[in-house]
Amino acid sequence: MSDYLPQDLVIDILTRLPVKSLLKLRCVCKSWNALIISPAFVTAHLNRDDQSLFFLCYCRDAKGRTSLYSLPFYAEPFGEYSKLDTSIEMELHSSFFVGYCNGVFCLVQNYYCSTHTLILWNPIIRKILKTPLSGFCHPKSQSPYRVLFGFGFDSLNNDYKVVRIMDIRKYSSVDFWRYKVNLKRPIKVAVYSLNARSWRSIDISLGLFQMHSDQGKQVFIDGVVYWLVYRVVNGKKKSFALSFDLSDESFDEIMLPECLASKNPSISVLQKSLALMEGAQGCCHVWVMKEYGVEESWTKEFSIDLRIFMGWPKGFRENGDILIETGGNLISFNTQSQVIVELGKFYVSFYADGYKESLVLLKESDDKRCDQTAITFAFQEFRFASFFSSVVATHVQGYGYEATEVIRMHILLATEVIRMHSLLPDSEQQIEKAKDGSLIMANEELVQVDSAGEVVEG
Amino acid sequence: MASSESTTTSTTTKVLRLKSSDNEIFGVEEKAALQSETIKSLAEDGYSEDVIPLFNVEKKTLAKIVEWLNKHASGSSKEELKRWDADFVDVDKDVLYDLLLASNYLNIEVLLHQLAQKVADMIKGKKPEEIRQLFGIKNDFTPEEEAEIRRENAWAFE
Repeated sequence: MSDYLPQDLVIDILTRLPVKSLLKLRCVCKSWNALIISPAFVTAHLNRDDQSLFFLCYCRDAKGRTSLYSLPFYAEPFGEYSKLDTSIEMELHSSFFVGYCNGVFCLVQNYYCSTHTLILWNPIIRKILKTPLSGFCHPKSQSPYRVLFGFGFDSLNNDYKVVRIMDIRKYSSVDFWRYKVNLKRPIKVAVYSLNARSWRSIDISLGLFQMHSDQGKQVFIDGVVYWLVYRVVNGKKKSFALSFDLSDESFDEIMLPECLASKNPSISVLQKSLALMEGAQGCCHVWVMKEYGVEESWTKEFSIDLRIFMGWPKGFRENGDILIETGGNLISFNTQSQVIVELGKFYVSFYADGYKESLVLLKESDDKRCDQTAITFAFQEFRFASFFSSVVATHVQGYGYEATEVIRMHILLATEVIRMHSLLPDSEQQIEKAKDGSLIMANEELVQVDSAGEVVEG
Repeated sequence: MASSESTTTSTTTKVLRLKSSDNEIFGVEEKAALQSETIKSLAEDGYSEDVIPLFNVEKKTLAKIVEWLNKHASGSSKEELKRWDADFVDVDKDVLYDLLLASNYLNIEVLLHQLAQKVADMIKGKKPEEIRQLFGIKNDFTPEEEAEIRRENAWAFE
């Protein structure tokens, strides 16, 4: 490794370097390369708390373009900011923002279409990982099911995970075939593991709940993802925080303070604690859960008179200052000193938070493992199409149109997967073979039942 | 040695004798010397009355280390220490490595941190070829392999 210094010292030194330097150092020698991309090093590098922090804005500009900006965290005002990795601006534009953790962003592309893609993106190393997602739209109407996504780090297994909670109550008759819907348990949970590079569904009995209309907002604190959801109890809306522990993959429910339960607060993080923001008449009240899971520990931290700002808080800084966007200006407001600092012209649409440069995802590539997952996935989709058509053919009369739509959707999805991985001649051949087989079968079966003449197109 | 901290201003200051690998003996006040975890545990093992042998540190390096230990036990202000430390680590590569190895062996965390940070600062902005020279590393990549890694992170080299 080095003629002059022992390995542990070299590691100590390297963890102090910024990401860009480390990328260059990969070509010093084989052992350094292996070290820098190793998960243990990536975690050690991340855990160096003297790393520079950035402040990040996820913005949509006047022309509707979405970009991410990083700004030096401690500089005030932000004189300089840099746009992070512009290579996926297109994807950003068509994506739903799930969350951020350890330098990595989680997005879902084409949220409202029948084929979705999960994107994990580390802008500082310009690494984008795309994984096809099986559909969570109503197969016929193309309208989406209610879905919650969560993203974070499982420190126990040194793994990054995405959790998806899907409420498929808006089913149609065909969904019974597709998802084997059990009416008593219509909430489906699946977890994606970056280490395994695959989705797996979790058999869990989750009490029914409703998702708020601004569905999807999650926060991640210390291994746990939180969302705000509600139930209607005795005709009254009762909000609560749903939590999912990424390590033991278990859910929990956290009650809100009594006075907030019937309202629609927004969930946030204030100095590593779960926080709620709730407002009325130009005033925003900020509540913090001082002790994890203890309902009595909810404390009203402070209230802000927002009338002078004409804007709503976007989040908090590490020191507890509130970030407010007002007319395209981003300001930082200290509730104790009442000092307002103008940070710069920024139209923050969704997201503003601390951000740390990291090497996470560095060793990941669209490698064989991923291709294998994709192939399996495509196979499954084709198989389903063929299986479904045979079921329709033998058992269900009069579902001609709906059935062909479902089959079409799955073939579309499989084709999309093939397109994404089309650089691999082997997998392409395999898929082509499966596709031909399935299509022939699907066509044969359909011709028997489908008098409407809706024939599957490849 | 729970009493080690209480000798700060007492009149009878205990002095530990440290012996370098080339047999030079340095007398260091106990309070200063015990910033090293290694010396601390050796002293606890009963070496404190006698000479403490430090087989892995040569006298020129030990002299520098003793200088650091004394300065950091002298009660200087934070600002002054910061300036002094910056000068202290501003040495050529070979001295820096000797200090790094010695502070690692002696387990002086604060000094180790300063030295490692100094080396890290030296690395920043340097080319891989320069780094190899700096650390005495042989490039074991084939030209193709190296080109491949460079290509992967081409933008980082811009």
